[in-house]
Amino acid sequence: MSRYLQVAKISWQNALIYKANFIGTSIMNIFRVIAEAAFWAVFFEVSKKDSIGGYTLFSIITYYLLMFIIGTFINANQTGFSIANDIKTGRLSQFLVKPVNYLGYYMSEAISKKLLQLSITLLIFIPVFAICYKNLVFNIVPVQLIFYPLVLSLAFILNYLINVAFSLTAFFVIEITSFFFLQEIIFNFLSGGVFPLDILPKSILGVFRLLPFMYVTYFPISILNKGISTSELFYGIAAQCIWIIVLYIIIKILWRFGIRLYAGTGI
Amino acid sequence: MIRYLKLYWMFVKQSFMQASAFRLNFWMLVITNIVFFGVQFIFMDVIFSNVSSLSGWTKYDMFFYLGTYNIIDSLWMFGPFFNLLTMSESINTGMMDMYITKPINSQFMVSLRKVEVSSILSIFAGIGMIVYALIMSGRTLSISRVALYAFTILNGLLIMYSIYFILSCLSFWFIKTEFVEQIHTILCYFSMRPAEIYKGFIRFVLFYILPYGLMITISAKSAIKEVTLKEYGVFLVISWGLFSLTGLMWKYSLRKYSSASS
Repeated sequence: MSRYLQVAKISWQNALIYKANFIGTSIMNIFRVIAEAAFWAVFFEVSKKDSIGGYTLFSIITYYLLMFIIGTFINANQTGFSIANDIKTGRLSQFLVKPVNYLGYYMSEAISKKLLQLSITLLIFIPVFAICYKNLVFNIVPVQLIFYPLVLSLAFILNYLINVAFSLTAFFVIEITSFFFLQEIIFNFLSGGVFPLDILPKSILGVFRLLPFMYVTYFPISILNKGISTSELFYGIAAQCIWIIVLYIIIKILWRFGIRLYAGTGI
Repeated sequence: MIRYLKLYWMFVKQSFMQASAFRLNFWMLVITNIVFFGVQFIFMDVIFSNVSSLSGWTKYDMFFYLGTYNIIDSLWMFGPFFNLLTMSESINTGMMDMYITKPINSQFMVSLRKVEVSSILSIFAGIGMIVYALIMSGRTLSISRVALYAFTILNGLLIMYSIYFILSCLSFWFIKTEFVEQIHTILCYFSMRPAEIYKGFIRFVLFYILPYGLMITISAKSAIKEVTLKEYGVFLVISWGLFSLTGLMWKYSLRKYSSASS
């Protein structure tokens, strides 16, 4: 365990060097919230409706704010990129001889980086929250908050495993870099990053419910923003757990076949 | 002028040869492009099932706008983008010296040397989008409209180029210039919708201060809506004004560069 803590410590120190990057990204996200808010403001003014899909203007703004905070924390795409790169360049070999579990290594790195990024993001968003506090909409069922750390942790692990599973295809496909952009766009959309998923027609939403992506960001946000019933909460947690298990199995399979290919052609 | 066109054609051909070595990457860019705009189309579909128009823009007007955005963005990526993105790198690696010591306008070289041919497919995707929008809204464009549209787009590109170029030149003074890409990205977020639908401060910024919004909105309007002479005049003044500033900025930056290197 102490090995992984060491990794985490070093990653934290490394990440601190890039704190300007994190600050820049957070500021950009604030502008993104403003851009979305401006658009939705126009929409609500023109449609003269009070709400769409259960969202008012302010609950949608709250959605985007939460999305950027929670999404930034959970998003560990960098790991997927690193793994694919390790496989492509042969850097993976040095990990195979080290006394650390490969995925565990990257998990420690991801957790510490993300915690740092979350701290910076929260610091930057606090003034925003302070200004808009009266206008934001939260519908939290207090009892559900007890489960929130669990939901966030599961979401983090789920996102991590999705990225790892995707990156392991680098064992089988030579040039995967361009796929990452595509994956990011699709992932972003399916997890609720472009707009709140439940403004989509129910039939499409039903399909999304069967996929793991919405349990990464949309689900944790909806607990705070729109408020969900107890049964929906447990359904969501169960979906997260099931997908984590499924992805873990997929990763194990990909790894077994991939490492054989890798050992055959690697350094 | 002909000389430069011929030279550019050589740059394009060279890029084609390089691209054929990485065919998958070639197609991935356009697939990513289509998926990205597909998501935007879905979003607009949902929005317009609740309203019939936003400040005079209907669903298919929006699709046309998004297609215009795609065309402009793809032309931007085809030509200047990857060159300007690596401007600070060229300064640090000495590549800049290669550009400025050739008997060719150095601003031309530093802005257009590298060509991203796979963006051509994205341009076609954008054209596909505007054609779809036109068909679905039962519109046709006269030849003069199409010509005006193309002309407006090329002028609009000057705006995007000029702003990014002037900001990139700051890499002659500052080493870290990531904020350039970030400013550009923020502007792109704001320009995903016609600048006209906004009011007040945001509208003013998108039109007159960092005119990405102006660029795309006027281009789209030139094809499917009416643009007043005054609007178009302002647009031309801004685009050519900014472009002439790039020439001045470049001269000024080069002076700084020569005085710093040995």
